[in-house]
Amino acid sequence: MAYTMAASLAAAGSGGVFGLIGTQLSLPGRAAIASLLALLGLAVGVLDLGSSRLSVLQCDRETPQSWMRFGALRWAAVNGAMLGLGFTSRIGFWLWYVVPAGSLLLGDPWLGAAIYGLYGFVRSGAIWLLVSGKLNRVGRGEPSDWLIMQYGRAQTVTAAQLVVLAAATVLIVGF
Amino acid sequence: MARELLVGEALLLGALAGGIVRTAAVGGVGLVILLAMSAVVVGIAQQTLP
Repeated sequence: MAYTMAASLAAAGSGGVFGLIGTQLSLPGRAAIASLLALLGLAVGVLDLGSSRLSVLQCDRETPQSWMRFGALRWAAVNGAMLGLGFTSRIGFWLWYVVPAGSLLLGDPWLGAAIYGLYGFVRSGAIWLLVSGKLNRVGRGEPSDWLIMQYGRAQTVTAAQLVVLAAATVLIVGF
Repeated sequence: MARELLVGEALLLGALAGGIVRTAAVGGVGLVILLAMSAVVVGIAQQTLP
């Protein structure tokens, strides 16, 4: 519970800050940045769907194991908060970047908090599926191993989502 | 699930491209919905990270 709450709150807080910063940018400025990023996202998404996948810019690491010394509750809270923020550990997918970029470019702290917070909530939500045993029926081995084996499929889905979002952004903002 | 999601989004994209919902207000709401869906998709996808 502390893990999910910390992830959601840290993410919502970040989204709020991004949204607040976005209010300082003019609407034409935000639209121009959104158009450029959408074109970039479209190119990256198409490459990612094909065979030439680009390495994601990220801190390629997990949250430190040494935090376990804080005790179960504090570890869950700190670990959750870091995963909710997203960028302090492994990101894995280019699509992640639309969360902070969208929160910033919408120029609304509440919308930014809602979108980033939603990400933090979902990011930390799998623990509930694992705890409840709902993933036990999906494969033969350990549920966590089964999840890791789905990475390739997840990469295709996130790339397709990036293409759709980028194309929609170009259509809506770029005209 | 992922396939249905993408089909739904492709329809939305088609509608946008066809000029059906190309007003600023509706387009803006569509974009926020797509952003929220992206946040959910990437949050789920990251469960597959080691």
